[in-house]
Amino acid sequence: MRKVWYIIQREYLSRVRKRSFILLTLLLPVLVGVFTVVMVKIATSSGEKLQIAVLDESHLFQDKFRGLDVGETLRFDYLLDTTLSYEKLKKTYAEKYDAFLYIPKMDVAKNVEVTYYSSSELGTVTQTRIEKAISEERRKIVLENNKYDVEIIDQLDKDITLNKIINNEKKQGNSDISSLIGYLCGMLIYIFLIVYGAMVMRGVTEEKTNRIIEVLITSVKPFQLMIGKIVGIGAVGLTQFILWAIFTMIVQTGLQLVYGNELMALQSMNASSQAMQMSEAKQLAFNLTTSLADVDIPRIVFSFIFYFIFGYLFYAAQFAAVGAAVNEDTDAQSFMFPITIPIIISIVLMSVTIQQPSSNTAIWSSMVPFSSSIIMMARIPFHVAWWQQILSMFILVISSLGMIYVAAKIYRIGILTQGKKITFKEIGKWIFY
Amino acid sequence: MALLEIKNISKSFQNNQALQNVSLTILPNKIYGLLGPNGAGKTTLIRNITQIFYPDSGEILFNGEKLQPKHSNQIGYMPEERGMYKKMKVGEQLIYFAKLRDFNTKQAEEKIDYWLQKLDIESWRNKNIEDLSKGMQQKVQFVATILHAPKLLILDEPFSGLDPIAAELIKNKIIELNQKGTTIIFSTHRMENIEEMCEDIFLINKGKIILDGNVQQIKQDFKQHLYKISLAENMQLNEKIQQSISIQKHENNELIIQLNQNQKPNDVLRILLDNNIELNSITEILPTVGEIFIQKVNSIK
Repeated sequence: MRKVWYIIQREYLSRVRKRSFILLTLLLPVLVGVFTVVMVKIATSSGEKLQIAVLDESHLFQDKFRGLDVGETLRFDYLLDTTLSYEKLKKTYAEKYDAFLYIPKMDVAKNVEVTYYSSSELGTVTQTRIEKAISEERRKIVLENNKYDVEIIDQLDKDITLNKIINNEKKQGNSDISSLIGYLCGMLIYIFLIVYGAMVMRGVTEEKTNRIIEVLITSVKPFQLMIGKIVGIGAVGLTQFILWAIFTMIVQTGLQLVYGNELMALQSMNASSQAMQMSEAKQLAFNLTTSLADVDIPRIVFSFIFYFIFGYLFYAAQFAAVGAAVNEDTDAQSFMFPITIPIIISIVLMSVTIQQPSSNTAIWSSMVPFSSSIIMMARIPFHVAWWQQILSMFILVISSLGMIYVAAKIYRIGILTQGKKITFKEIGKWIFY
Repeated sequence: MALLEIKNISKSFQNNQALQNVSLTILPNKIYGLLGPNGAGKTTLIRNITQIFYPDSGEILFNGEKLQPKHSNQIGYMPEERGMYKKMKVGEQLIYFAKLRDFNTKQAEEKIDYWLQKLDIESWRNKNIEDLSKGMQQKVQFVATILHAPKLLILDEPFSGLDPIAAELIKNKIIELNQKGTTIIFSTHRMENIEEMCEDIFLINKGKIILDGNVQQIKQDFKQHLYKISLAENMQLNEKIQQSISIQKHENNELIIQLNQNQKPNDVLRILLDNNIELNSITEILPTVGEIFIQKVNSIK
C-alpha cells in the first residue's frame, strides 16, 4: 500500500510540477478573463467621451434620453431649440458635441427614421440604448393614441409561467438553466475522460517502451503500478478542475469589480440583440435567478465529483490496458478507437438527453456505464429521481471495479510483452490467462 | 550453499520455446558471465530470475528457498535497454526507486549521496535524465540498480555506450562490490570483459545451456595445443624442421605451431635447439572465450 502511495505521489507531482500544467491551469482563467475584457472593450468602444446632441423636432422624446447617460463616457444633450438646422448646429456646436441625433417630425405609428450624424462609428452598446429608448417611447405613444391601456399591454407581453410539480415538489422557472448546467457538466466530464485517459495511456506506454517497467517490476506488482498511475493522474485532473474553478471565480469577481458597469451594459446588449424588450429581459433575468435558486447545487456538486471519479476510473482502466498492450504510440490509435467511440456516442446522446431528459434513451444511457457518467450528469439538473441516480451510481462503481480487474489482467501481461504486434484476439487470451 | 539454483526450468511463448530444461548453479561471491547469441534466451533466463516471468516448469531456489517476490529486494537488475523517466531529475528518480525498495527518504538520501560521490556524478543530481548523455544515464542507472545493496546483481550489457574511463570506473565498482560479497551475473557480447572479470561462464544457445564452467578450465578443454614461438631473427626454417613440427603460421620472426598428439612443448624446443635456432620466447596460445563461443555455437548449427 505504501508503494502505491509513492507511485501516486510520483505520477501526481511529476505532472503538477510541469511547466505546461502550471501554464495551462493559470492561463485558461486568465484567457477567459482577457476574452471578457476584450468583448466588453469592443462592445463599449465608442472610446473616449461621447457627447451627443439630440435634435427632436416633435419634442416627443423629451426627457427620454436622460436615463441613458453612462457616467462621463456617454452624455446626451436634449436641445430645446429645434429651429436650428444640422448645418447650423454643426457650426455652432462642433466643439461641444461629437455627434447629433436627428429625430424629424413624423408619424410614430408608421416608419420611424432617426439619423445619427458623426465623424466616427457608433458603438453597438450605445446604438442599442438609443434604439431601445426611442422604440419604447414610440410604443407607448402609439398605444396611448389608440386608447389602449399600456399597462394591460405590458401585462400581456409577459411570458406565461409554467409551474412544474415534480414528485410533489414545486419547481419554478424554465429549463434553460438546467440545460446549461447539464450541458456544462457533461461536456467537462467528456473532456476530462478523453484528455486524462489519453494521459494514462501515454504514461503506461512510456514505461513500457523505456523499459522502466523492467526495473520497477522487480520491486512493485503490476497492479500497484497501474492503480498508482490511474489514481495519480486522476488527482492531477481533479486538481486542474478545482484550480480552474477557483481562478475563474477570482478573475470574474475581479472583472465584476473593475468593469461592472460595462459588463451590465454588455448583458443588456446581449438581451436586446435577441430582439427582447426590456420587460422580457427582466423577466428572463428573474427566471434565471429563481431557477438557479431552484437548482440543487449540493446534489450537482456531489454528483459531478462522483461521476467524474468513477467515469474516469472506468475509462482510465481501459486506456491503461491499451497503453500496456501496444508497443508504440502509433499502434495506440487503432486500439483507442473502441474506447473513444462510446465516449463520443455519449456526447451525441447528451444533446438528445438535454432536450428530453426523461426519455427512454436518456434513462437507459444514464444507466449503461459506458455513457452514464456523461448522460446522468446532464440529466441531474432536471431533477432525476434518486433511485435512478443511485442505481446508475451502483452500476458504474461495480463496472469500474470490473473494468480495473480486466484491465489489470491485460496490463500485467501486456506491459512485459515487447516487440510483438498485438491483436485483439491476443488481448482476449490475456484476460483469461 | 548455492545462492541461486535453477532447476530444469522451461519457458515458452506461443510457438517459441525460449528456455528448455535450463539448470544452473550460482555460488555466492563469484562473477558469472552469461553468453549467447542474440535470441538465445539470455534475457528470458534473466527475467525468470528477476521474476518478471515465471517458468512454465522447473523451479528456482534463492538461498535454498523457493524464489518469491520477497527476494526481489536482494536482487538488482540493470536491463540492457535503460529504463529511466526522462523528465525526472536524477536525485528524485533515485529516491523514488529506493522508496519502492522499502527505503525511507533519509536512508535513501544517504545511499544516493554515497554512490553519486563514488561515481563522481554528484553535480548531476538536479539534472533531468533527458539532459544527460547515454553514458551518463548509464551511470545513474547503475546507481539505481545497486542502491539497495543486492546480494545478486544482474547486469545486462553494463558497458554499452560508456567511454573507456567510465567503463573502467564501473568495472572497478563491480569488482569492488564482488569483493564485498555481491554475486554478479553479467550478460555481454564483449568477450574482453568476460575474460577480464568472470571466473565462470554459461553459454546459452537456442534455449539450452551448451557450456558452463570455470573460464580457465574451459580454455584448457578447448585448447588446440597451439604455441607461439618468437625467434631471435627472421629466418627460413629448413625442410627437416618443417616436417617434424606442424607450423600453422610463419610471419617475420614469429611462428605459430601446433603440437601433434605425442608431442610436448619440450620436444619442439629440442628440435629447434638442435638446429641451432635461437629463440626469444615460447608461449601457449589458449583459445579466447570469443573463439570458444563461435566454435561451440557453430558446431550446434
